[in-house]
Amino acid sequence: MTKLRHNKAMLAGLIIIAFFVLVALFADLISPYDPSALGVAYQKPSAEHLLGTNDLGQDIFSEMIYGVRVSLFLGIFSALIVTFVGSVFALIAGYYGGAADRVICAVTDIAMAVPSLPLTLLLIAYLKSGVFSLVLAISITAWTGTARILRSRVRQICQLPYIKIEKTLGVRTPVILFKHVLPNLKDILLTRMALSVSGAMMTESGLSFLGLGTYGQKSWGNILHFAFFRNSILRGQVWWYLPPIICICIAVMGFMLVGYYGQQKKD
Amino acid sequence: MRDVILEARGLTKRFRSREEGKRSFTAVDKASLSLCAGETLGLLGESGSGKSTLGQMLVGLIRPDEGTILYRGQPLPFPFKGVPRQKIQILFQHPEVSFNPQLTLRQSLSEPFRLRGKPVSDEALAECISRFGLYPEHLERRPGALSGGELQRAALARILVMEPEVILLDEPTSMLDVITQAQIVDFLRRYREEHGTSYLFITHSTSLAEQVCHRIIHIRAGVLAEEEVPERKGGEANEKDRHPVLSEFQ
Amino acid sequence: MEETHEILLRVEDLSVSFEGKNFVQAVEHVSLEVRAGDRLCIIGETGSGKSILLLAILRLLSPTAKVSGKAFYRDKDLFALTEKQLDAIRGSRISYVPQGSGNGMNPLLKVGFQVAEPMIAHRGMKRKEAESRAVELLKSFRLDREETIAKQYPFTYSGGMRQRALIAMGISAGAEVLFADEPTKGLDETRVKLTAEAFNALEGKTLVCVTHDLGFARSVSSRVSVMYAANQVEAASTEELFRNPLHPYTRDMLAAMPENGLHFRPGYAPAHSDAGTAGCKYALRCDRCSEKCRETPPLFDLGGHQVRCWQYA
Repeated sequence: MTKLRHNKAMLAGLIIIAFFVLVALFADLISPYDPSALGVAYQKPSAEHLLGTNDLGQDIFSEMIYGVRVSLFLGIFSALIVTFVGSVFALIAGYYGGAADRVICAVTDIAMAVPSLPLTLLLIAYLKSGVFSLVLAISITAWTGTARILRSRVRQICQLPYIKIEKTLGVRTPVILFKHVLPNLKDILLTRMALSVSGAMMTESGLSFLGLGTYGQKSWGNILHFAFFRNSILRGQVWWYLPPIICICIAVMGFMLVGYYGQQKKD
Repeated sequence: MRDVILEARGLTKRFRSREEGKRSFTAVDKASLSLCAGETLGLLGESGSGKSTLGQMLVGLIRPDEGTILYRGQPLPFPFKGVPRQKIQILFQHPEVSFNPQLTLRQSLSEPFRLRGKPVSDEALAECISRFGLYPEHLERRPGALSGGELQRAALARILVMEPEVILLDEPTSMLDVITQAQIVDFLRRYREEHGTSYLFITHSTSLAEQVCHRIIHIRAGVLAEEEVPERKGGEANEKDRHPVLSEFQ
Repeated sequence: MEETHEILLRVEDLSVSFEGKNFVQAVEHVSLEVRAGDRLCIIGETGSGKSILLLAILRLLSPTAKVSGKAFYRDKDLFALTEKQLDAIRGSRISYVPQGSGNGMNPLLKVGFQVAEPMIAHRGMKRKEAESRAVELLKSFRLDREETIAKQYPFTYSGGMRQRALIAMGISAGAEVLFADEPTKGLDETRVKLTAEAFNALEGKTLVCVTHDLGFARSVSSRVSVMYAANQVEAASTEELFRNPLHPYTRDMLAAMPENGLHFRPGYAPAHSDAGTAGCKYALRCDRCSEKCRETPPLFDLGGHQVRCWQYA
């Protein structure tokens, strides 16, 4: 019973993710307008402009569709970096133990203790603006959770007889790590990755909302930023500020469903 | 006296105590022993006596804090490399975690073949497991689909591909039923007679150690105590004590 | 003389199966009778269904298990009681010591309190009184420094100590029947001996114990039932069974014991996939197997010594 429910929740998450990925891939085909083409400003939703136009007369529906690309790309790219860095640290700390473990744990603890939002803002302010700075700023503290959880799992696995047998057989360390340890982390890796994507998407939309996101490229946070600073809430332009909020919520929920229920299925 | 294959001199291992403020805890204290070719040496002790720690130092899984290990008279620094690494193998107590759960038996068994530079073929794999009562169909299964007895036999088959000279048997039968235990013990005895392999047999069972070992060393709280040469019971020695069911067995 | 004691537990034709992708027949038509004061050990290897049998009697199996047959505690039909009525029996009349000494205790409570808790819950004792009684109980199981360790948490205990503390917990409510599942698993020889002593120190209790350890069974039980591949293959008094085992499986097990010289017949045991099929389950491993063994033998009764083998027809 519960298993079935978990599978359904995970399936729902996967469907949501697949939907947004398809939209991002085929944005050119789906989008009715070029999102940066100017036109008549502040139009209400109509058959021509499903979600109206913004202060520059750009079609909001098209903006939303292209926004998927930036939001999703940033989310997934940051999650890859976070998971990669986290698992490299985890493998080294968990496998070698001793001094390596103590150093990595100390670094992780320090990075965890740093308040992440101010650090991210500071980095954004100092780095050249662009997608990669944004990814770096998002990932700078986000890897700690992944590293911690994976490290304790790696430690457990390395205590198991089969890893010890590999060692006595004389299998080289990289082979042990990548063939015998890493594949046994795949469930937890996927889970952490899905949760990292949703975390990164949240951070990205927060930063964009504050006007610190990607310049020139439309993202959902970016749309929300302009909607908010052009007083759409006061003007009652629901079609402008609500769609990005809803999309962020649904996409984040999609990744979280996969993350949480992917994990619980294992238990 | 026969050749000494593996020798330990003053091996000591301390672990940091989990409780704060307490001194470190000495798991093994200045242990010295020697293992001759073709011999089964028993290491008998209760749980927590340090017998597994000592064993794992001898096969190069734990770095000793003090003392040296000699392989054929040559000091063997940690980590073991080259020939000694291939010739000293281990069999654990828990067969269900002795294999990578993601790999099929075929994949796991191929590994030692590759390490020894032997060709991996269906015939070679089938031959390597057939004397353990396992069949080619077992090769395609993952550990989760095999019983404890089957896995322990496969684990033994796997390390024998390395043609080891020394095998550390860390309670190899304590998780198995008595009949499977008897079969594995018998196989080990025949293999030793054929290949002159030496065994270090770690166990807590006095009766099993008496049946299997040429010499038994007792270990208590990390210290090696007296050594004894067991007297076999239940065999032909005292006809009177023989259980009547044994008349069916030669 | 045993006949004079009343029957506390009666199991009739109990079968358990798990449906699903892989159908598993875990227990097949097992019948048991346990009289007051009996010490019954159910022997069998891993996967023989012995633990499932215990859990089925106490209705502790997951809902996916299909259970048929009957089980009575005194005159109460255990399978017909409501969950609430059953709770009144479990714990206070029949207590269960689960397998694996690691999981049976709450890691956040002191051991002394955990042993005392059933007395507070079922016997209405005051906490102080119950806790001092708990220390006495621990003393009877020879746990050393009982006053001190009663105030400690389970993680400070060794496996063997936890096992004995669990038994103390099991009997503290005053249950008359104690169910124990593999109480010696993972324990070394010395600790097995201490656990056996703890069981033997239980006076006036009825014991139903599942184990794979023949030596342990011999030292604690008055009756033994042997299970193989979901079936009960032999049952007799402990003395009789160890002196004169009848079923080929029991004989093979005894011969394979280290004390008897580790004898065995050639050939490896097939896995338990053959459980549930017709015929004698041991036929593939048996050297006295004949045509007749293609049919499932009934449980023959030879003057109180029951055996499921055609040789004794």
